[in-house]
Amino acid sequence: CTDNYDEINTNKTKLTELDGSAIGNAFAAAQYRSIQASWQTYQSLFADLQGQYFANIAQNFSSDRNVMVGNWLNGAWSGFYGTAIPPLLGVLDATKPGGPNENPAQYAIANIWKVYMYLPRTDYWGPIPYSEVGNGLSSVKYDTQEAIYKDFVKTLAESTAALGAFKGTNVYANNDQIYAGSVDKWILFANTLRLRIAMRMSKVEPALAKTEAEAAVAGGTLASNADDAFLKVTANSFNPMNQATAWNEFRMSAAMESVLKGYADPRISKFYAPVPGTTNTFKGLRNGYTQGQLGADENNANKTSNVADAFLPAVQQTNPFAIMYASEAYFLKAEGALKGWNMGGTAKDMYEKGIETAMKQWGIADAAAITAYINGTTTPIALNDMVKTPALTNVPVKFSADASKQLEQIITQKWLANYPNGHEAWAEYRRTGFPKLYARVNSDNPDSPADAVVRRTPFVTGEYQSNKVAVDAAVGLLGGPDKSSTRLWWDKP
Amino acid sequence: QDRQLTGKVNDENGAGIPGANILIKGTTRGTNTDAEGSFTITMGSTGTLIISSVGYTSKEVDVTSSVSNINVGLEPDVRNLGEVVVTALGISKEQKTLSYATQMINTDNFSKARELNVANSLSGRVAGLDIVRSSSGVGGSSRVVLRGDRSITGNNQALIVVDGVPIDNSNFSPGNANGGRDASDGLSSINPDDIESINVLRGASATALYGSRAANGALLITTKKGAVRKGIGVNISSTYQAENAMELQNFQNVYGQGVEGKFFPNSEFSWGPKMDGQQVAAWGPDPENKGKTYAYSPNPNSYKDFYSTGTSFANSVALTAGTDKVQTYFSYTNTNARGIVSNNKLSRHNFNLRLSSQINSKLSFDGKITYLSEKIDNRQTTGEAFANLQRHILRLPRSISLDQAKDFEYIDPSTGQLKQNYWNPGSNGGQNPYWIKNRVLAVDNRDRIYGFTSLSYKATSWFTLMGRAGYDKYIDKFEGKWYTNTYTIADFGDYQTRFRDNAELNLDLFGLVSKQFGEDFKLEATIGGNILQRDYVNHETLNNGLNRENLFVTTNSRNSVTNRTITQTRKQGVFASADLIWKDALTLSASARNDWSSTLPKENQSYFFPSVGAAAVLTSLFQLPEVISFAKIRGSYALTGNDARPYLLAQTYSYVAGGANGYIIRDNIKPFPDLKPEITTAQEIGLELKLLKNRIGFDLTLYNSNSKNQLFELALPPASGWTTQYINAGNVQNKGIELTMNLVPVKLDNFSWNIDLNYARNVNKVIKLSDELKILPLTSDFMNFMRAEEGKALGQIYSRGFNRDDQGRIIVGPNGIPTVTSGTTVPLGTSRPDWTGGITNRFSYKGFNLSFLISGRIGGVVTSFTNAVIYADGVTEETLAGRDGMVVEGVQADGSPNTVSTTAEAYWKFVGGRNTPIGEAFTYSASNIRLRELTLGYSLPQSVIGRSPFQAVSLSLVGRNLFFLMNKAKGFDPELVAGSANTTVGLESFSMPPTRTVGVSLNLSF
Repeated sequence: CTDNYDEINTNKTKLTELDGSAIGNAFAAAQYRSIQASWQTYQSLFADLQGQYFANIAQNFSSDRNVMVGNWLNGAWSGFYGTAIPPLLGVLDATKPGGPNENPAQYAIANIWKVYMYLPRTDYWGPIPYSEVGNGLSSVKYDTQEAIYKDFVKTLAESTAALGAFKGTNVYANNDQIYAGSVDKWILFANTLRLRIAMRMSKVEPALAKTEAEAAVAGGTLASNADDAFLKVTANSFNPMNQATAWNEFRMSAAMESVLKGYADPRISKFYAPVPGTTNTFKGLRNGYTQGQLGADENNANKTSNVADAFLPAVQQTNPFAIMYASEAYFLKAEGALKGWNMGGTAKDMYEKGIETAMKQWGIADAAAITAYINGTTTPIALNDMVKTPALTNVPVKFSADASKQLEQIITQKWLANYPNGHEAWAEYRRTGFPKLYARVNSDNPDSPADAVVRRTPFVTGEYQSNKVAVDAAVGLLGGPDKSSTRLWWDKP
Repeated sequence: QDRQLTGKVNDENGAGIPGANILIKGTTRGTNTDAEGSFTITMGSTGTLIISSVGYTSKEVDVTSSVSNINVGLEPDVRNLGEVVVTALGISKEQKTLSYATQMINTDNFSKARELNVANSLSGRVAGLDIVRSSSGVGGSSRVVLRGDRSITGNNQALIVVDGVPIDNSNFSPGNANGGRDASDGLSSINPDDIESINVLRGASATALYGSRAANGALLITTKKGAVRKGIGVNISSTYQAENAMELQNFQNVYGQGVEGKFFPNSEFSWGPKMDGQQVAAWGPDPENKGKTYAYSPNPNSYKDFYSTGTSFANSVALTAGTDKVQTYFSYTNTNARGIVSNNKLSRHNFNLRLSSQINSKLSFDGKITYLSEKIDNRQTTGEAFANLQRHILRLPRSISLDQAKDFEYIDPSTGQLKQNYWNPGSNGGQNPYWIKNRVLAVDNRDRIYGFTSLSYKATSWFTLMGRAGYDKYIDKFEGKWYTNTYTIADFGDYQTRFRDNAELNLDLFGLVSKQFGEDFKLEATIGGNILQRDYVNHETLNNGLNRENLFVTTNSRNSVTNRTITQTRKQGVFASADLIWKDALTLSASARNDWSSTLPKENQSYFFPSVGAAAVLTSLFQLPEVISFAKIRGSYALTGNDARPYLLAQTYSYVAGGANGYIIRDNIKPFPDLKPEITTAQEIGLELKLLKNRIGFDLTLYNSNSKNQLFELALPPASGWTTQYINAGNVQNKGIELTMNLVPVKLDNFSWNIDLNYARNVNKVIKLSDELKILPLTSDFMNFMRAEEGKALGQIYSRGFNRDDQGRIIVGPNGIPTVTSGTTVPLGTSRPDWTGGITNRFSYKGFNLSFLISGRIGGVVTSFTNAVIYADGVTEETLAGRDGMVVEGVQADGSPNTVSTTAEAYWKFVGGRNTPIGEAFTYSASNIRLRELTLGYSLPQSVIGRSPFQAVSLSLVGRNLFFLMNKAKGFDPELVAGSANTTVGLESFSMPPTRTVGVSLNLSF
């Protein structure tokens, strides 16, 4: 008799369907996992080093010498597509028009989050699987970065429009770990993201960029620190950066040291910890030291500045993870204004408002101190280290009358403000060349020598194994070889 | 009046024959010999004994009144008529009627030259059996595969059957090259002292009656039972063994800790300056060492001295008693072992009780209960894991002495906390080896109970009905304690507990027909049914960090995660088989089984496995030259299966902790509603030949099997929405030849020399994967990418390699270092051997016997992740050349010879290291030949012990794994791998050193 076989073959420790009551839990999983998935092997070991927020001190790690360590990137890729995307697909499938749990507001917010999730990934690799993701087949095609970017802005426009009908309401409630379900905040978030994306493609699609940026600003962007997007963390979903600092792999970069000290920036102690045994001595190190150089006493973990206590494992269950700051919106508007776009203010006003917002975000509320900083004329310093590092640049904080310095000032301040979001730092450095980050001391990657900017990460080995046809085709979409030296679609010299 | 006669029945080599029948002629009085071939019988002052045993010619011996002790030698039955072997379902059959190959294993040495896992005693003895063992110290699992790998991603290990009932041989955490924790397997739960015999059913034809569990062959283990005898027979044996690590790596003793020729006290490398005894700064954060210096000198023995002598002490007592109504066998064995890592310990208790009873002339009962209790301390973590001790002792900088390294912890004076003392504090990947040994602790407990009860009812002279219930249950308990400040993997300490409860119930009911039709025909038939139910529960708690340091309780957790998984499967089968035998010379066999499995969808739930075969004893059919004592040919065809695991049919979702209300996620295995079982078709033909009155015996088998409908786990592109998909496709072929040979080159009254030889060659080929798929990725780690490929054998290893020009010369970059492929695209070879073989020589002279086993595993490759890492660390002799500059042999991109100089350090760090090693540089032939076993035994002659209470006294000296006659791998034993999964064969990763074992074994019976 085989009557009870169905029951025997039902897994007693699993759910058998994703019903309406489970959609919020799935959205929560998509939010968290897109951040948490392989944070170390993805962001920390690449973007954070390329954006020079940090320099590596682990002797046997080579990604700070531009080596594109395949296993790490592979983990980053499969962590994203394999763990973060499936719950998002579940939400989108259920809530889409005609879906079993059709819900326009949930669908719109999930789509906004989807754009946020994919943006850094396409900025790593260029073409990535996008439009056919979730097809369940043994081949998933890659889309061009152009198509992805254009879908990003279209999706954001549609989603903010759809959310217009739900203003003042709450969606997903506390399953939304960023805004506790506030539709109004999600609209601001979406517009800021749209502005960021518009700016990124401003070289390659100037007209579209202007239209999208102006539409985003008109719709309202993140305005104050009350709008800042932070992902709540808990005992079972902790801050991945705080977790990773346990491994003691990175320290303050020389670039940060030069700028923060040169500007006497009060955020230095918010970002980094003093050298052990001191109260106010901060010390960074250059990116790209050899193992031998890393072995030198001055680069020892105990002689350099770790992250500030707020980023240590002790508070990994409470320190929320930064998603996007209001200050970024002002710096984006400042740059837009430089381009002559209608950003609702002058470049200088936006620049200064950006600095003020960023300072307040780190708890620096003294108006006089902020004003003094904004009017500061000091410049970054040279470092007395083993390679006699010169000053990073010669621009001060005070907004220059010289138009040729203004962009550097805006991006340099945006770089400081966006700490520790390495993705934006690296992407904007590639796009603008600012801040004028240091060359690597050494490179072990002939494709990207020490004085070259790493323009992307190569496609991952797992894809060459499990999705070969598609990734081979994707190399053709790149406009260059599958190397770290090939520029992305938006990355025009 | 009655008196007692003692005696011993010996085979042609002087070894005792257990279980021989002794009958007093003209009476019903009789007895059986015990395990050593000894017997005691009560008889009148004179009489005639009829002594018989299966496979030997019966003998009658007149006993006069003056004789109180006799030795009887039996001659093998050259017609080989009576030899009976155990076959599938525990059914005994005459060897000559079998249409497939079996191999009875001589298990005499199993309890003397004992292994903690019986699987390892089989190495080298069985044609076509490939065994590799996991490198996890005492009590580790072994991978037992017959006739090659059939299933690409499923189970390939032989079915283990004890007294007719299968036992579970799962290894739930087989480990892989990335590291893992091994667990005990099925064979390690079997006490060698209880084994009466092992018969190996190599192919699917032999096991067809097991249906969907039959594809991988089977080891049929028969355990001892009581015998009709007078009084109680007692057998006591005691074995003590000692083992030592073999140092196979060549460490360098010139350069010490540091990089680029400079000393750094926090370096994990040995690329520093020459060690001349100069004073250098002490390492580590221990404040007591602050400001101190020490002599920077070589420590040539640090690796070897890290290990201590492993010991193993096994004591066994067995009691047998029996009347003609009830026979009993009871045994208890106690084993205590200590590995070469001194806190890796095993303690094991085996209890075994067997009761057999002839209730009346029709009804008989047989039952057994076996209980095992095992505790293993600090089973070693394997592979690339940071908790693998081997990793850290191999990497030890050459200038750091073990005495210094033993200073592995200190109390932080500012906090009072216990901290690790290590040269590179907080390292990602490095740890003090003594910290890992003493502060990363594990205890495994296993309690296992298995056994059966059966009732037979002999309804008529030709029909017997038999019911049997077999049960196998074990509970594994694991506890892991990781102290706070174990870098990277447990900075805040950790505590892990796991309970695993596995049960397998087999219910069989079958009828046995044995009927003679006229003079010439005999029918042996079986018809029956089987229900198999398996229940598995795994419950684990991970603390994920401790709030209060080094308090190991589940409530002291930073982020507790509890997992409970439950699986349940059921299978029902009906089967029938028939052998039609003509004149004891020709046999036609057929069998059929139908199974219904709960893991399959309704429409595929039922599947059918037939087999047919034939055997012909040529010596009975034809008049053959006298030189041929026995000749038989045989052939068979069978269809068998390999089951799927449960819960693959429908999409499932998991609830996991996180966020405000928990996360719900879709599981990443794509549902497979059309699942089918794997099907293996197998054919084999064989020839058995005995020449010169059995002085020479051959058994030759040619076989072919094709395994289709393979259930393979396909990695989907992660962007597809699922990471894994199962499909039924493919065709894996195994073709091969197996030869066993027995030779008796010398046979004199007092001296004999026997040779047992086996050889097997298996050619494995993936004929087809699927229409779209030509390459199936199986596993990848930092160095290797293992895959299945159409047209090649399973287990193709790929890695990065050197770029070469069309003449095969290495292309060197402008920096003087070879250029390499960007991906793991270079084929390195297959991980499976070309052939395996073994030769056992046995010499017997009066009471002495000497035997030694040499075994070889030839062909295939093995890659060493260990070497990739430790060459980059600069600790081996290979890294000495070129420290002050070297020019790599090769060409520049333009084809001109390379002239650019580099250094050994730059070269090895590029070629080796953890993250992107060039596997091509660390690949070796896996061929090896070793002296696997040597025993020298002496049995006291009856003339000496005749008046003592003892019936037999023997003493043996044993040695195992004494030395390699050949080992092409560099610095390690290619048969010691990270785990027992399909994909770990051929991938060495921080394995333990092999060990050389010597021991002594004493056996007393009275």
